[in-house]
Amino acid sequence: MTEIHQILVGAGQTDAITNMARSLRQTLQTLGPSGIYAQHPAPDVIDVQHLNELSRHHTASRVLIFHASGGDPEVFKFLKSSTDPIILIFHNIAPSELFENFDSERAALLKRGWEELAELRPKISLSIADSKYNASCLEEIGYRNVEVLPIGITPNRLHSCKTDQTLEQLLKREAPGPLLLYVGQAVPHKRPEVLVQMQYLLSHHIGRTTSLALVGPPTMPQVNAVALEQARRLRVRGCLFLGQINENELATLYRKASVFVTASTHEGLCLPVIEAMSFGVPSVARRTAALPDTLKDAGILLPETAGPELFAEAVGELLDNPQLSTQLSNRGKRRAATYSSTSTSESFLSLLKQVSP
Amino acid sequence: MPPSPIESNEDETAAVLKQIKKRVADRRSSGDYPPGLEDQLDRHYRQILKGFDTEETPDLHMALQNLRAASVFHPTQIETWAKNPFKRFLHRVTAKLVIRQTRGVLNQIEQHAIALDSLLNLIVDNMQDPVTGTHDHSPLSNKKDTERRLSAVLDRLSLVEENLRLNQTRD
Repeated sequence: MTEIHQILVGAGQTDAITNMARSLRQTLQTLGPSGIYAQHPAPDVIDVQHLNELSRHHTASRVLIFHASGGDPEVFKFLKSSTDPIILIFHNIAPSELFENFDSERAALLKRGWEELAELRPKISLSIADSKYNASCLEEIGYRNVEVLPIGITPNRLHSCKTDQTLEQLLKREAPGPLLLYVGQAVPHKRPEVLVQMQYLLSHHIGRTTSLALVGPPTMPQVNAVALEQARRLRVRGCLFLGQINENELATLYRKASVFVTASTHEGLCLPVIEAMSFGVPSVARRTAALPDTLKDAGILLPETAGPELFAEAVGELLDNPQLSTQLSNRGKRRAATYSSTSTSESFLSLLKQVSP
Repeated sequence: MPPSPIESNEDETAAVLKQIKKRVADRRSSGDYPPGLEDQLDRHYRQILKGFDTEETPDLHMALQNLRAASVFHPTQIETWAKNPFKRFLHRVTAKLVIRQTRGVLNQIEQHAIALDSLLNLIVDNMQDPVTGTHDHSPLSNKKDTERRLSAVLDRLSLVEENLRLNQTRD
């Protein structure tokens, strides 16, 4: 019986990586005891233990899985001193320079994350990246034989969620016209202000009635605050900053959305795009980082430097062209199905045999 | 050989993108989008961002101490030295001649400075955090604190909404 534990830097109730670890735990528990440990678990998370709870003593049958998504000295110290085989699952770390204008402390932590990842390389028995783009990032810092496996993704996880009546009422009242949806953390490289500017062009210059819902945890609240302030000053109608919401509410939004839109300049995989595809919502995104690979032909990929004018026009195209919208929606559903955890779990288990004691 | 389905999809999305770019160009030439609109919006955003960055809480106690240090008034602090010995003599004689008036003016300024200091002290003390009763001088701390409180209020609001919904369901 193999004991396999997963280690995360932070854990949240609705956090994408924590959810991936939860999904993977179900597979791992078929092999033996398996827990999730994090250095910074959110107070409302009850199924993830603090890293201090994980014994530092090596046992012959123990394997550790490290989900790398940011730097942390304590996690690094733990892994560096561990003698257990370590599997790395890389979700990418945002480039630090994107954060320097907002939060220099966070920028330093991200930079340290990349350094720690390079230093851990000799200790890693198996490297897995959840996208081709992430694999190429790992190879840039010296990793070799990186397996690409989008492990722990359940694209349909929200499909069984109920429609939230309160949110539905709110949308009826305050979101006129087709709903454009963005889901992601409030961090600088997600560029929520470009979407606000897009909504401004749609309503003030093109004369189209749409609503824009921006959803996601306020990781850096000032990012949304600045975008919100611009919306206020430009008097942009139909901009809903909904912040952190629960799964029923998120499912309600995916069901109601006409277009999923993101102006993000850096994505290691982009789980919200996969979820949008699973609901048949066509996407508009930039051709950058992992987005072309995640989206494939199921959305409109704009140039990397696309501004609000192109975004507004792409959204307009999808709203005016139901044939294109339906086509992308169908392709999206097929694309999302390829991320099903059933097939990736089997591949993961066969990879695991390489490192299991 | 017919193109593979993937190639044809790629061609199709490339055509859509071309069409989108053309429409943007048309809107620019017809004046729907004034020249430099995107740059203007970006500058506007950066201006707001700059305001958020520099919105630091000033260290009011330090500023009060500086004001106090600068509030020492004495006739000896008034310069009478000059390069020219004659002018130097003239300044010193003038200073001695008007010493009574100079002291009178300085006394009045000192009284005003003392009153101003007391008033500013009262204002700074009243600007203490209404909940904790403390001053926090770290940059952006007040803004961060306001954001945290706002999040807490929004959380409470969502709880109230949830309860309301549950009650409606029961009814």
